[in-house]
Amino acid sequence: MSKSVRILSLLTCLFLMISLVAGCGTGTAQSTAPTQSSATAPAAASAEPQSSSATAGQPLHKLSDTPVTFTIWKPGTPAIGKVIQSYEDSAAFQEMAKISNITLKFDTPVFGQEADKFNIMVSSGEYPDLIEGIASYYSGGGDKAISDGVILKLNDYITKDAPDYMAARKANKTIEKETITDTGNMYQFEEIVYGDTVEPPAWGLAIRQDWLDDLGLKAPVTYNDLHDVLKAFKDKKGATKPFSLDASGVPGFSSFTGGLGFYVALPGGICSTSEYFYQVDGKVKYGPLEPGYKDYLTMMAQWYKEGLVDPNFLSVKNFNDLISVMSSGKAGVAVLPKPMFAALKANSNDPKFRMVALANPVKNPGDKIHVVNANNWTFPGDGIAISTSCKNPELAAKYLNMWYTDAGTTLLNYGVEGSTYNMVDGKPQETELLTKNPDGLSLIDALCKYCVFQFAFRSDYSRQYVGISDDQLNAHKAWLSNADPAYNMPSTSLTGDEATTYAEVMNDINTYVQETTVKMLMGLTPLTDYDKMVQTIKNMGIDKAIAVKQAALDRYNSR
Amino acid sequence: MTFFQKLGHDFKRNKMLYLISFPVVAFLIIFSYIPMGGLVMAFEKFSPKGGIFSSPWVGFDNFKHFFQSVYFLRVLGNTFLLSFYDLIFGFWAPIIFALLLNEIKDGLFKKTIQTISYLPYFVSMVVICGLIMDFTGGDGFISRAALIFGSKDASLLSNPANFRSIFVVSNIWQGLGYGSIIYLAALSSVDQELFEAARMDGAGRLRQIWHITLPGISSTIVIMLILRIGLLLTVNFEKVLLLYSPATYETADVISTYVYRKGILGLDYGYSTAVGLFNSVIAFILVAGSNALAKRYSDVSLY
Repeated sequence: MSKSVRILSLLTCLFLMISLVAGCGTGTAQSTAPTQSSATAPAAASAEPQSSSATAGQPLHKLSDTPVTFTIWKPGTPAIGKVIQSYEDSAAFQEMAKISNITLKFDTPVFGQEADKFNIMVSSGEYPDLIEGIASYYSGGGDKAISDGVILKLNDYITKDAPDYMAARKANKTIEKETITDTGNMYQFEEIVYGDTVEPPAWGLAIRQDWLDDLGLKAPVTYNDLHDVLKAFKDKKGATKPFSLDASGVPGFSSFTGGLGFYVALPGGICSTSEYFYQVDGKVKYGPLEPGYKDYLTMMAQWYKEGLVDPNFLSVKNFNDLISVMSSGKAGVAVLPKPMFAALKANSNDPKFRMVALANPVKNPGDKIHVVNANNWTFPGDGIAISTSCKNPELAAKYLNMWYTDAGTTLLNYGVEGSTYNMVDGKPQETELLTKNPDGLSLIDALCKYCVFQFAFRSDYSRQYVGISDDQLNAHKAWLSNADPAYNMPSTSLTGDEATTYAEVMNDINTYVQETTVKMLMGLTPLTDYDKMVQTIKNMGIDKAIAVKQAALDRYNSR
Repeated sequence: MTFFQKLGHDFKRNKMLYLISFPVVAFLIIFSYIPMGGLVMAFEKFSPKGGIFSSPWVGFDNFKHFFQSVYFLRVLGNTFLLSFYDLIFGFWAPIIFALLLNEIKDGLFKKTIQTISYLPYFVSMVVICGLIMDFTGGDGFISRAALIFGSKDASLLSNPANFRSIFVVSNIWQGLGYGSIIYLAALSSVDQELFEAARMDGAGRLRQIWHITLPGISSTIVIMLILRIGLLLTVNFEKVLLLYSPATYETADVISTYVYRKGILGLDYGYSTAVGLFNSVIAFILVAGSNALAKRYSDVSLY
């Protein structure tokens, strides 16, 4: 008797303990901060005296007598972990480290979890020396990150230590405008387009061409055509998810909705909260309030009802999910980034698998779309900022500056001379290591391995037109065939106060819009509630957010 | 003797006991008490630059925002309802299961049932939720079975009307076996002579359960109930986070997931700390209240 009582009390204690531990676990996010190993640069590293500021156009040279390491937080691409283990393995960076005596130590988050990992890194208060992604993931943007004390204001460092970057900024008016905020801060080294070849669109609608061929169908032009094609895929190809959508409910990054008259961007990457702001003749508009949005909901709800949309789209939450849906052989059409075409083929069991780009659909043949996910001169998302934890920001600025020198641009864009390129008539000419890789790497993968792709440097987009597969070249043509960038929102910047107002209003509205959108799409909320949705969005204070964006756009236009 | 003298005396006598309890006490201090200092963030407009000590003080602004937020009633209601359903349906399940098991004679059959029923508890939550999503999502076999029986949803899990049922039923399935252990232990302490006497008097099995077994384990049941009521506002955060989607926010978004989205994803630390503090205060009132009630109406209580 007494023994069992003792066992009972022991068990009770045990249970208490367990519920205690469980209670502690609840809601506590793991704060696995990136281990801080900040620059081990001794003070003597910057050998140059303070007074003499650097001059532009120097060749690549040694920047420090002792080896220095900078830590850097940088999101990866699908190639990281597959083609190379880390950016450190890139031949261009290794060469750069050999010359400058400065090594980068990369902290790259798991692909698809960039936003979460970024926020954990920031909230830990222990920053690496260099940070990419302030523009994409820091709520409030560059100015706010400076006033929050996360990154340094770079104006002085750039004027004194980064003359080549300064020169690159002045290549044209747009670049100059977009590399400085409205308050006059330079907060990061931006990725800048080199030369005249602007960026081709990276994202757009894509379709299983092999299925189209099998069924003898033509490439769909209008939304109605696309509907019929999806139906044929479902009936004749056994596709259970003819149109693949992600959890946001609206394909972002593309002009898929452009034909209906509104634009969607996904500033934080796939499946993040969509951003619906665009501008018409200098006036800011918010997509869900426009009539085109109702058309979109009506159309997609119909498609969903007919079983043309992936019924599991809510569980597609990152890139890898999208890859597995698209290579499963059950899906036929999706909005995809161009480099993924080859990856999908590699993942698929179907030897005939062929994904090609499709011009974004319109209502009536001949209609034009006024938004294009391309034509940028700068890419704030790839910019690199210097954090307040950096012990030697002058040296970091000098190092980053080297990436913008002519020699640096060639090295990062084309790799090491004699290996990935040869000089022909004073111009770098890619060797077959890049264009016809013996290991079968696609051009983008090869660029990641031997050169640099999506980074803060002068990016030569003509690279992407060399040795490119016909399907990819056609992708550029297809996605640009019926579209112009007239309604694109330029990269504006918000002041600290504006950013706070904006975040307060938009956090709630984004949740509401996403929630209502997917519910209407799935038929859980009737479409007649759309007017109620518009009213609710207005009650939640969308006007304040639009005013903030409008002010930023006005400042941008008058910069 | 002063307190410290007493403590010193006691320490000398029970050195080993103190040594054994040291890791637990240290754990509590480091992970439960010290972090409480961070609650001050609830009254600040927290920024990583100022840190806890020099971020601007805003008083009750964060709380005001939360109470005025369009989502206040929804997340509060969802948190209560999810836990409440979990309590009224989930609390009795292990007790009934333990009673049933108790009626089976020891043997291979009983052991097998016990092992199988304990199993889900020891599988990782991510795997469990993966299973639930596969079965009740679009194309899942439970979803397809439901279609045959007249359901209209291609995917059960993405209809807000089904979320609570799926959550509660899967919770019962997961915790049934493990939760019954404590009752089985309590049952083994019930005096066997009472059963014999009852059988002599001609009591059937149900009568024996009602008049002997249940009163015998009632104190355990009350303690477990107090604990459960105390946890009423701490829904299983991981599970909700893994199972919910924008389509089911209406019934699935609870305080902790809201805090997660605001705080970790939206970087609004002050605000989310305020919401978390609000949650804790209510939970504390619930524990203290249910304990007081239990003290008044029965002789069992936690403290």
